[in-house]
Amino acid sequence: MPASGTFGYGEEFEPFLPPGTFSAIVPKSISVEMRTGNPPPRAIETPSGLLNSIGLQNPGLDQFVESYLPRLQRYGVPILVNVVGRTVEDYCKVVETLEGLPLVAGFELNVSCPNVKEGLLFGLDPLATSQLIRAVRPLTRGVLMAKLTPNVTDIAEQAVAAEEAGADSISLINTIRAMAVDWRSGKSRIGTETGGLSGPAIRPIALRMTMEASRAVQIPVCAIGGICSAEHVLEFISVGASLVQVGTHLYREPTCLPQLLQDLRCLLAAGDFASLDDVRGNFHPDQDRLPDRERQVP
Amino acid sequence: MKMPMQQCLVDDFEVIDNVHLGEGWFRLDIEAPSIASTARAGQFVQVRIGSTDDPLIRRPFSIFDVGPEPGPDATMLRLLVQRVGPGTTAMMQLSAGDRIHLMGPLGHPMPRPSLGEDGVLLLIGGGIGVAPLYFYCRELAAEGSPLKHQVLLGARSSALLIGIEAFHKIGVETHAATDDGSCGFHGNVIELLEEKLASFSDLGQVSGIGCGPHGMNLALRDIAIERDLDFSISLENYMPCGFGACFGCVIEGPADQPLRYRRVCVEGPCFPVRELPEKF
Ligand SMILES: Cc1cc2nc3c(=O)[nH]c(=O)nc-3n(C[C@H](O)[C@H](O)[C@H](O)COP(=O)(O)OP(=O)(O)OC[C@H]3O[C@@H](n4cnc5c(N)ncnc54)[C@H](O)[C@@H]3O)c2cc1C
Ligand SMILES: Cc1cc2nc3c(=O)[nH]c(=O)nc-3n(C[C@H](O)[C@H](O)[C@H](O)COP(=O)(O)O)c2cc1C
Ligand code: FES
Repeated sequence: MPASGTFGYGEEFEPFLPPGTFSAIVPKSISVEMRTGNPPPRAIETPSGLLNSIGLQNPGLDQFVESYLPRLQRYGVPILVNVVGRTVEDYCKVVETLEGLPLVAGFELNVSCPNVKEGLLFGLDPLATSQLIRAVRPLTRGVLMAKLTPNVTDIAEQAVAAEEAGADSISLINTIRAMAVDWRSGKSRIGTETGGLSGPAIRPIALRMTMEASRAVQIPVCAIGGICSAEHVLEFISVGASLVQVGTHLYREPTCLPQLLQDLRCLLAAGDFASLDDVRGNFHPDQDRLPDRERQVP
Repeated sequence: MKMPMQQCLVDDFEVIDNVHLGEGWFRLDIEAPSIASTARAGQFVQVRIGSTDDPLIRRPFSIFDVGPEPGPDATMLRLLVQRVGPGTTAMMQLSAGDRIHLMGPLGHPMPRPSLGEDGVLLLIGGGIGVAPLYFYCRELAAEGSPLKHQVLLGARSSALLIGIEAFHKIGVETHAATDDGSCGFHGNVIELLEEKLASFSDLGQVSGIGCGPHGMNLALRDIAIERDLDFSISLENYMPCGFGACFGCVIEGPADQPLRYRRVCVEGPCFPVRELPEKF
């Protein structure tokens, strides 16, 4: 499935392929009130990465229900609504309003956006994360996924807090707080001082965090971060992920997901794996290092 | 400004020719019927540079021309490119037979102003901004449009006025401005425009489309607003996706409305000056 914020509201992908092609869709974060977002420039490329400071620009809950949701529902696939808020009440309001509407399969609580202060407030403090999830949990019978931030020292602690509070699954990682500077002018190269880094540059970090989180919890982990190919998907599955989301790569290859699924099947077959379950969690920390001759020449 | 949904292609195409024009400019001719046949002037394509992660994001380029003639029979897509960094350097090294990965056509076509018989449309290009204006003129010619139009081109020196020959060849009245006076008007294209505007008795009959470097675009907007001219400007913001999904390419809406950021890639890239804020 696509990662929130990299898929717009689905209609952006219509000229390329029917969004019904996806197994689930995750629209850009929705907050109670409309948000204008951060001042431009909002994005800049860094080595193998993209630094952004979009600032959660979104039409707000009312507008979402009125004009965006009906369009998303047309695609006929489950919608995982990504929610962001300033307060616990904000999150609850969005969930209550959307709960039970056709195809709204669940909620991904964004407690982790690095580009606005309040998102991180929840994500940085396991207690706050836990309070938020406890408050939202009774409001939905759908899937409740907590999207964690990588901007913490101990991701496992966050993952456990989410699990204990009743989340059905966790997703990680959101973008990593980073910056780009023009030393001549002494200015940031994006509209805010710091932004969020995504893309292949963050994949090794996402992989490490996926492993740490998967070891700490029983609930499914949805891996996000720099995934561009079926090989990458399998690496994340190997360290324990059950699901994955593709973000930044969709910008350059908006039609990649059907191909990626096909490649996955081929890779599994070629490697004599019956299904993803055979790969899931097959990574062992104490296993001997791969002998040199079996290492893939890059 | 919603348009009917246009199919957008993401595919690999063959480079037919790469003509080096000097000063780091080159023209890529690409056999891409599926894009060329539906493309309109003002639209752009996103080019994937190589197949690795660096550069990561696609690079946007206006469609410079389609051939043999604009319309459903067009098969050739042409880009006019100036080398400025790693992406354009890699494109410069492409040669006939190589493959290039394109996404497009993207964005809205440039507008067609409705002008009376005495009306004149001024097409104002600075530097590489000539690219979409040439396609525009080719379209007008192919349609047999009665719209009177003139091109004003600006560059630092005559060597950079690469487009001018091409416009002459298709019979479009073209005026040049060079900063060093080596060709045409001595000054920048905005000064040339001011002189041109002074020659019209009724500015209500003048319309304009501009495309150029940021500084030129800002100056053009100021002039047009000051004199209440029906002008549009095509913007070249940094574009992570090019199709509306990331909200990374935005500009502020007009100052007299509540703050709202608009996506240049899908709502533009060409905007009427009255919809542009003072600084964009
Ligand atoms: C809608 C649109 C149409 C365009 N049409 C053309 C065209 O027809 N011909 C052409 O040569 N170029 C065009 N550009 C600009 C072109 O996209 C950039 O020059 C290109 O992305 C630079 O890539 P690079 O890797 O070579 O350089 P980078 O390393 O990415 O950048 C090198 C320098 O160019 C500047 N730059 C980067 N991206 C842009 C941009 N989008 N606009 C302006 N400056 C930029 C950077 O600030 C930097 O100073 C267009 C841009 C847009 C948005
Ligand atoms: C431009 C941009 C906008 C994003 N907006 C959101 C958002 O609104 N909500 C959210 O939860 N994550 C958002 N993200 C984070 C992604 O969903 C994802 O977690 C992150 O980009 C890492 O994955 P990737 O490397 O595959 O892009 C955004 C990412 C980018 C690049
Ligand atoms: S470039 Fe992504 S929204 Fe315009």
